[in-house]
Amino acid sequence: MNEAIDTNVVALEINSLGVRYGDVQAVQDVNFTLQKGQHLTLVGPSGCGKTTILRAIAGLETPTQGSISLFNRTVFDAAAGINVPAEERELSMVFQSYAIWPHMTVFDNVAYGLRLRKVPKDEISRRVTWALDMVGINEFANREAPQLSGGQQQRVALARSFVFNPAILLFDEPLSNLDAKLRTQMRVELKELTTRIGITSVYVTHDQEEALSLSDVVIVLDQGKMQQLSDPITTYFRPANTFVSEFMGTSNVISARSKGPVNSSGLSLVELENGFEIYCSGQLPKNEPGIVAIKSVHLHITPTDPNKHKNCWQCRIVTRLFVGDFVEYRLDFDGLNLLVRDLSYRLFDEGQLVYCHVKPEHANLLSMVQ
Amino acid sequence: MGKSRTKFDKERLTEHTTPRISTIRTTNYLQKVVFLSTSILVSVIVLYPLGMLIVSSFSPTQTISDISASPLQGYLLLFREWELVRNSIVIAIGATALALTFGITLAWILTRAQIPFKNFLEQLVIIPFYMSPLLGALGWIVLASPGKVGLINVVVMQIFGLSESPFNIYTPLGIIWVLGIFFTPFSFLIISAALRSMDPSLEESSRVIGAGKFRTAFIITLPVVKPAILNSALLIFILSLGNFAVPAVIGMPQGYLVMTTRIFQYVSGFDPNFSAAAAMGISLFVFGAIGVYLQSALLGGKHYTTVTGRAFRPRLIDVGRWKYFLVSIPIIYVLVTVVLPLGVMIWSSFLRWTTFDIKLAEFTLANYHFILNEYPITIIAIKNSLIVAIIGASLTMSICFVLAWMVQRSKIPAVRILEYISIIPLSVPPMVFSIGLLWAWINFPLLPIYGTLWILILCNVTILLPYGVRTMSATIVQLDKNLEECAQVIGASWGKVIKTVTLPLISQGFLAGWTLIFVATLNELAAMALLVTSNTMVLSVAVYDLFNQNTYPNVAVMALLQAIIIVIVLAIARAIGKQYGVTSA
Repeated sequence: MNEAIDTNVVALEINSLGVRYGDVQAVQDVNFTLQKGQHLTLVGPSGCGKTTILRAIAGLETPTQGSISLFNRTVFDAAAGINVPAEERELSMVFQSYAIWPHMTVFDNVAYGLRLRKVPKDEISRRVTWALDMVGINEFANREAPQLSGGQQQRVALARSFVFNPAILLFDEPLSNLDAKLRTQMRVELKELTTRIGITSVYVTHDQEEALSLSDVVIVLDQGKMQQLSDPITTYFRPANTFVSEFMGTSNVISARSKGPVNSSGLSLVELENGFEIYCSGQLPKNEPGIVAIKSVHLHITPTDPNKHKNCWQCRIVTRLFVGDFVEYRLDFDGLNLLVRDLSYRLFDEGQLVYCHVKPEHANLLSMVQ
Repeated sequence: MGKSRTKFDKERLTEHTTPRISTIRTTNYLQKVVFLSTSILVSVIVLYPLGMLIVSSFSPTQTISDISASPLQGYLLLFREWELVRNSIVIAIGATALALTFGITLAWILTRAQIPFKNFLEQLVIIPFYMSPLLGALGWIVLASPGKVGLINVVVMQIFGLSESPFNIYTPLGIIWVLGIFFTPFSFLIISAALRSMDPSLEESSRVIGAGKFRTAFIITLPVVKPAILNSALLIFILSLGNFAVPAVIGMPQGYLVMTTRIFQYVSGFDPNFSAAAAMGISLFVFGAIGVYLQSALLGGKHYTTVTGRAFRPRLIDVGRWKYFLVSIPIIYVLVTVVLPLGVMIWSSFLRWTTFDIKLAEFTLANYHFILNEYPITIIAIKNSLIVAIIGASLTMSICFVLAWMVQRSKIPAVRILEYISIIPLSVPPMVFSIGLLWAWINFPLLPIYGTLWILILCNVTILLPYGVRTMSATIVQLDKNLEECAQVIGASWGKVIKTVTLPLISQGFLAGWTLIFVATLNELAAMALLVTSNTMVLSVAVYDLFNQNTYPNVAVMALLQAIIIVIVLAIARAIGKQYGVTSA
């Protein structure tokens, strides 16, 4: 849990935000509040409006509807005609392209925000040293910015963004230009850093792993609309709809029909499209058609019948894709296609008859209506 | 992230976690003032003279008795002289065709073929861009004079034993030739930029399928760069239509007139007829506007191609034995546009009279002595030219920087209109513009700039706006928007962002644009010819005046003086560019 969260202070509040470009409604009816110290992530496929929302918070984009307030100060309100310019919002932002000024040294880049605030000279150098220390690149202070590697530029951009103590830190896909290995490393460092300086942050990414690992709150977006707002674990295990389910991890999505709740367990008995029955989490009225979503890693394969499980069926392995750390199987479950991701500590063969099961809490019954 | 977590950090931490709400308060007055004043200035300097031009075309001049009553007098005269319209269009089409042929050939050779001295030749072929067509015309009237006067005729007659001289520059074809070779760099620059930004895999896949090198060039490369070709074609067409220097030097003495030279006669002759000049100017403008309209229609609304985006490194084509032939084309081009015209002018400048017979040649420094020490206009003209070009280029680039920034960065819808206004001068021949300016300012009591250098500066700023906006737009487009946005989010006001981020990063582009505008201003003859007075004489007009009144060797000295000033300024600009060059990421 993030200790810096102060539930009494609202850092960011967004009400019915909408952004329209000509005929295109890029963002529609977005609402959320963020407590001080919380890390929020906006995640979704490209074109879902996540960057637009971030830029609207920053003041780089002018929304067409709704309002934004930072620490109870309204910085944008379409109805009241309030639009505080970006430079007066006391925010900071890390850009996807890092936006390191190539005509300045690392020190000058980081000191920029402090100089604007007329901070005394010795205080500037103290703070810049502190910030560069935090990101571990103090030895590069006097380098010209273009001489740095991608990862180092990323760190300069970070140091520059928090050195002057902004109210909220905004991240626009900051890790997407790094190679896979560096990205994983920076993810951990970023988490440590934001926690340590205790800053409130809004993070934009299309990467579900970044979204889940870096945040207290996740908002999944699609086509400019919020699909789900919850903590990372709920987002993953209890997707609000099929879009979220498919976006967060690889999912099997099966048409089904509810046969009503089972006792008071919160589970439902559901008939799948191939006639088999399955116990699911979630409720729908009896006989109402729905969708069953199961993550491919939540399906387990055993060579023999494990006997003790509900939701256990015999399937045949149609194809096997050996990826290394894991293996991807495509199973035929009596006319239904199932995708299963299994760890590679054991292998099954194509054509082999196996037993496949899923825990009821890992099968989510979702409404057809999105 | 850091390795060390010192006590100092911990102390700071508490302070750092308390957000301070807004220590920065900027009211973006500066941005509003700059945007508004630039918009008004640009609209006024472009639209006011054009409006006056239209008014004056309907205001008959009283001195001509026969049709003085009709406000259409100017236009009626135009119908009587329809053959001038025909001449102008024939010349413009001919020059465009020639410049395109050279431009396409040179662009293909210098971007695609494997030939020796490629980079060096690439620098050489754009030299004519910086030379004025006036210089070219002055060179070529000596190179290709009929009879035993022109150097080329003398040489060719001797080699082939001809009794008649084969070439005569004093023909429409002569005008087309000089315009064509001097406007070639425009098509070369635009087309070679397009060739460079073309994905080489398009050509490679054609080769893989089995098309030959030259076949690929014709069926793949040529169509892909078609927009660039059309773009340059219309630009050159408009430039040729509005050119005054070449038809004035080659055509006018022989009585072969085009529209620009006739306008000059109308305004500066003994019997001035402003409405006729204005009417003719407007019809020239209409042809230019039709060209610009066609251009945007053919290119689907994009009125210019910014050469940006990915730069590909095309694989050079091994042309085998052809390379000797191919390398000779740019060399010949440089020879006919730069080396020969400048050569004959340098040669003549040291002679008492122009001859290529070494036995008759009388070498002397008297011409230099006359121009530099005796001719009273020289010093005035140099001084005025420098003032006009330096202030003009600085003003143009400053306005164009703001304009281009507004076009590229701001989301104000009205900026589109402003962009169109700034492009208008492209379709207005410079001489036509100067007539409008004459009318606009000659009787304007609030701002008595007529007869001062300011009217010359104003004229140059206006007619060069489109070029300045283009270069600045191309530079700003290449600048990552996030660099400015980052500074803004961190807390920098608009003025601060421009001063600390934008300007330092575009300084190279700004300097390049400044140089271009400086040279264009110094070379401008058509627009200046009608505006200068004896006190505001500039070099280009001084050269032309001298051509009308004095001996060729003296003209040569004055023209060379103009060329030398340009070379010096280019060298200085280059040195500055190298010294303060910013390596952008």
